[in-house]
Amino acid sequence: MSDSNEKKTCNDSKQPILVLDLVRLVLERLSFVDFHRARCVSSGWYSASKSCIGGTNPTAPWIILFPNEHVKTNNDSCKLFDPRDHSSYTIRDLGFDMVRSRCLASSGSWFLMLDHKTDFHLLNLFTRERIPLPSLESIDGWQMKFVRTGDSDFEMSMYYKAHGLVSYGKNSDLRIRGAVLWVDEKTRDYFVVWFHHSTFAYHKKGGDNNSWKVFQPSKHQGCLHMVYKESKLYVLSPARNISVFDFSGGHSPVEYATLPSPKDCYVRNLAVTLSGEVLIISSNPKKCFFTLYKIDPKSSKWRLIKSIGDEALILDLGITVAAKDGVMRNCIYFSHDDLHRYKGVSLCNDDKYGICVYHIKTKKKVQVFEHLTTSSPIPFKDARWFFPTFGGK
Amino acid sequence: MSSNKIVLTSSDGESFEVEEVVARKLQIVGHMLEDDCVINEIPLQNVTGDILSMVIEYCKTHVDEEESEEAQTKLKTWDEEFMKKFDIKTLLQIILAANYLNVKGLLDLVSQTIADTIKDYTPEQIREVFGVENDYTEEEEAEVRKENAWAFDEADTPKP
Repeated sequence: MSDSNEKKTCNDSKQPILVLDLVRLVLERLSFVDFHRARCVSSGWYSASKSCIGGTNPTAPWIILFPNEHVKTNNDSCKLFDPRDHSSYTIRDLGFDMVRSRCLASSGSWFLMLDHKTDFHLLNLFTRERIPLPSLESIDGWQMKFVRTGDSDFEMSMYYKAHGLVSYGKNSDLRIRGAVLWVDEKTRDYFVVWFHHSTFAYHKKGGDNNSWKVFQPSKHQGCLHMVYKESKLYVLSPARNISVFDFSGGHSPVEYATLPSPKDCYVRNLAVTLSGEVLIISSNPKKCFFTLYKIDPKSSKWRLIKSIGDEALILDLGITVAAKDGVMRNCIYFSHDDLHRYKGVSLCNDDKYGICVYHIKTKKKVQVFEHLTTSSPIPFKDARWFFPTFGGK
Repeated sequence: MSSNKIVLTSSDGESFEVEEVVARKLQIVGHMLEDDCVINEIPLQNVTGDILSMVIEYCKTHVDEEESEEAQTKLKTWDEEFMKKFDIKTLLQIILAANYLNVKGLLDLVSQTIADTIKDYTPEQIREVFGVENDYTEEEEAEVRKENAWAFDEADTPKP
């Protein structure tokens, strides 16, 4: 090392070797990227890094970009972008076909992926761990049934209260739209919910068996958007009914609360704030225009709000986070329109639909990321804001 | 304030006479004093005189932990200047000493300084400086490198 001469140097010829506790103290103070480089030093450093929990995680969200079929490199890579210092990184050789899979939800560095065979996987970007989830054929009960008839084909039958059992025949493009994922980085416990037709399916680690359990809410059908936070599932239906289900009991979920239906028919998203309040968001991504409402405690009606205070809304995660350490206050972090994502429409490079940070009060985009999507043909089909985490084992 | 003096002796026989309040910043000393209050000379086996003198300098400066913002800022500036004096090898001696002597504030400060110093180092440079042997087999290293390859990626950074 080229240290200047005036610096004090020890003449002790013995090389100090740090015990792993001290290596961990240093590792915990490195940035997320430097931390991952330092893991390569030795097996001791690698194992010390595994017991570092949370210290190096970025405080502001990153963007992940999922490749489409126009990607020139391998199918199993994706791109990351850190907006704070404009760095981008490519994760290669994931051993998972990202091009032919869709991302349904994320939690920290874990992503819920649905592959082209309609199999669910949990994938950790940084540790590269993969957890296969039960197949669609493993669904408990009789309300929803899938029988695989080909590589990616299913025969589906559903039970409706009004119509009884309905068979849908062969279905080769099962488009599962809504899903949530929660992963505990430390214990590796996880919980997944997805929605199809009128039925929710859920699975948690360490359940009775390796299958999906189902539930059908009594009152309303459908799910436009859902959010999972602290054992509660918040569901917005296409008819703008909002229900909250409590999963903390360990048995079937219990309907915990219903909220009034908003009048604004463009409401398409829900979010839960740090303090547990429910926000609803109406959006017109063509104009990148968002309106937020929350319940007025006096009238129990939805009231338009112009501020979420010192918080930022991460629409992809359905939560707000504290606006500090690089997170912009009173902003919405937007990536890709839900409907486009569902229909498989790639990211747009026109500024109307693009990834942005949107300021709620001024209704203006305060940060845009056109440079990520302007290459032609557009190599990305989807993007999401996420918080990179390294939880150790 | 007690003006009781304590003599701290390093592994290479160097002695430092310091006030008890300063010596107590070294928690290892604090514990000894609690066990037996009549000691006034303490041998410290795992630290050499030149490193001990630096730890004592830190403890003397931090002996009055004033709450005021002004005092905190002043201390922070002093910490930064203090750390600038040392090369990485010395920082490694100090972290070991801070751990052994149990000086929490110094341990945090020097860990951060080491992290700031090595942040752009390659694994090879870190191995050299820290005297760490690369104990991976070729296959293991390739696997770990693959897992963390993205973090070595600097070529494709588009600027907005």
